[in-house]
Amino acid sequence: MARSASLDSYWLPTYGWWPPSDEYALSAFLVPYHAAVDERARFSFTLRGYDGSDQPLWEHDIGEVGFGDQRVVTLEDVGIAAAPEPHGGVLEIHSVRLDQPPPKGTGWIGMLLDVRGRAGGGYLIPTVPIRGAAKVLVQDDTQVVPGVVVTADTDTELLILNPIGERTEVELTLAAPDGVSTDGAAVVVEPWSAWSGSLRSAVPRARKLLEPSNGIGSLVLTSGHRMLPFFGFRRDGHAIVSLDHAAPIFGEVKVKRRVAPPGG
Amino acid sequence: MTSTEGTMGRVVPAAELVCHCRRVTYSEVADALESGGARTLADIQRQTTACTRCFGCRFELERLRREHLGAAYEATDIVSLPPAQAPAGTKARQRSRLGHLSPKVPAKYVLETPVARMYMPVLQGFAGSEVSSRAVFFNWPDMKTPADAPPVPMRVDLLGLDGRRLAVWQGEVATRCSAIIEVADLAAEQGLPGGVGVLKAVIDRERVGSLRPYFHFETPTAISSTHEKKAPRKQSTTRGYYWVFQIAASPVGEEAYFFCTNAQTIPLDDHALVWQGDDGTRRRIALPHLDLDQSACIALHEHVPAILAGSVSGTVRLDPPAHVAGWQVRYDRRGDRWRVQHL
Repeated sequence: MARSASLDSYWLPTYGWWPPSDEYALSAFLVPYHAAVDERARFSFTLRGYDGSDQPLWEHDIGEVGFGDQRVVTLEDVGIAAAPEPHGGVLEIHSVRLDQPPPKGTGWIGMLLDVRGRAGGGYLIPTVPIRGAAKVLVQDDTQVVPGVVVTADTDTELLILNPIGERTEVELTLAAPDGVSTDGAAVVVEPWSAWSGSLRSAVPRARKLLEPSNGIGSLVLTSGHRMLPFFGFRRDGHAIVSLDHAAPIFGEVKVKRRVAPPGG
Repeated sequence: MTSTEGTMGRVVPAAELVCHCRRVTYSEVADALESGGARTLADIQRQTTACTRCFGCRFELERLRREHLGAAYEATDIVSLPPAQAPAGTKARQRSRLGHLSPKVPAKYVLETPVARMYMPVLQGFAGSEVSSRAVFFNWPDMKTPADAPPVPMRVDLLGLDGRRLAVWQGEVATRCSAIIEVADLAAEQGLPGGVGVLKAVIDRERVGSLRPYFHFETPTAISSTHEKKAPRKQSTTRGYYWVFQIAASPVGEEAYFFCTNAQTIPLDDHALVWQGDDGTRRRIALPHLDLDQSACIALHEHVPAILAGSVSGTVRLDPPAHVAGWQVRYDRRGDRWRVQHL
C-alpha cells in the first residue's frame, strides 16, 4: 500500500512518529554513512508529515547529500507546523540513493530520529519500512512486545502508526508469564495516522492479570494490515524515556546442519 | 526468579558444569588435562566435547589450562571447532561449509552453531545509578506452531565485559508463556564487576519466532526497553554500511555510551568510534580488542564534552564498518533516567 514517493525511484520510504510538539522536539538525522561504504554514493532526502490522508500536510526537501556529509533537520527550526493533537502524525523519510538502484528491484534506506522530550527522555530510533524489508517473517499480521509493565505506578504507553490508506483495527492480547491471557477492545487506527494510549486503558483487566508477576507480562498486537507499533513506559507521572518498536514474529532461513552434535 | 506453571527455570550453581551446552563437568575437563594429556583447547574439545557449541566456556577452559600448564600455557588466539569435529574434507562438504561464510572469511573463523545466540547489555548499579536490568522472553505461537508444541529450552549466561561467564540461568518457556530473567538474581552470587555486563541467550531452536527477548533498564523514575541483537548466521569481516547513532543538541544534556559486544569469532581489532559533529568537530575514539563474547561500554561524553553539554548535534559511527551487537545508551543523571536503543 505504501507508495514509492518518487516515480523515477524504486527506493521505498520509511516511517517514524511525528510527535506532538508541545512534548517533543524531533530531529531527523540523514546520514549516508548509515547506508553505504562507497565514497561515490549520493543520496537525496525528503521529509513529509501526514495526518489522515495520503496527501502530506507538508514536505521538506533536503536535496542531495554526498557520502561523508550528513544533515540534521530539527523540525521546529525549519518552520514545520505543529503536529496534530493529541496523537501526533506520521513522519515519512524518503531516502533515495542516486548512484544505484536497490539491489533486488525495490529497497529502502532507514534513517535516524532523535526526539527530545521537553520534560526529559525522548525517542531514539531508526525509521521503519512498511514494505521492502528482506527479513524473513513467519506471519506479518502479528507483532509482540515481550516485557510490558502495568502496576500501580507504571503503565505501558502504546503508539501505533498506520502509514497505509486503510482504516485498520488492531487487537491487543495481554499474556501473563504463566500463559493466561486477556483481550482488550480493538484499537482503530485511521489511515495515515498515529494512535497512542495506555495499555491499562486499552486492556482494562491488565493490572489484575499481571499482579502475580509484579506487573510484567507480554503483549500481542494483531492487525489485518501490518502496522508500526511502538511502546514505552510512563512511571508515576515521569516522562517516557524511550520508545521501541514491537517485534514481528521472525522466521529463519532453514540451514542444513553440517556438524552432528557430539553425543546426539 | 520467576518460575511459573508454564515457565520453569533456575540459576545453575556455578560449580556444577563448565560447559552448559554439552553438560561437561569440571572433573571431566580435569581428567582430560591430567590423565588425557590435553594441552590445547582443541584437545579438550576433542576429548570432552566441551566448547563445541556456543563457545561460552572458552574463557573458563583457558583459565583451567593456565592453572594446569603453568609456564607452558599458551593462550588460544581464536576459538573454533577442532579439526576432528569440522566437516570432512570432501569438496562438496567444503563448498557447503564455506557457503555460510562471506568469501573473505578465513575458514579458521567457522562457527558451527545451529542455535540462536542473542546478546543484551545489562546495567546493575552502573555509574552510581539505582539502575537494574531484566530480560523477558515470550513464546507466542505462530501459524506454524503445532498445538502440542513442547516448551522451548533455553539458557541465559551473565557475562562480564571481558566475556567471562559469571552466572547461568537454565530453563524452558512453554507456548504462550514468558520467562522473566532478573539480573539481580543472576548476579547475586558472583556480582557484576563495574555494574555492567551482558546477557547471552542461547536458544535451542533455529527459528526464533517470537522468542527474541526485550530487556529493561529500570530506575525508580523510568523504564527503558529495546531488544537483543542476534549473532549473525553468516560471519563476515565486511559490512555494507556503518553502524551510526545520532545525538541531537538539547537543553537537557545526557551522558552517552556506546555499548557493543563482539558476536563473531572474528576478533574485532583496530576499530574506532568516530564522532562527527555538525560544528565541524571530528574525534576518533579507539575501541579495545574484542574477542567473541567480549564487550565494551564507551563513555562518549568523556571524549566529546559537547555531548554532555547538549550543545551540538552529531553522529557516532563504528569505523571501519563491522558487525557488532550494539546499542546506544543515554543517561540523564539529574532524573536518574536511562534510555537504550539497539543500533
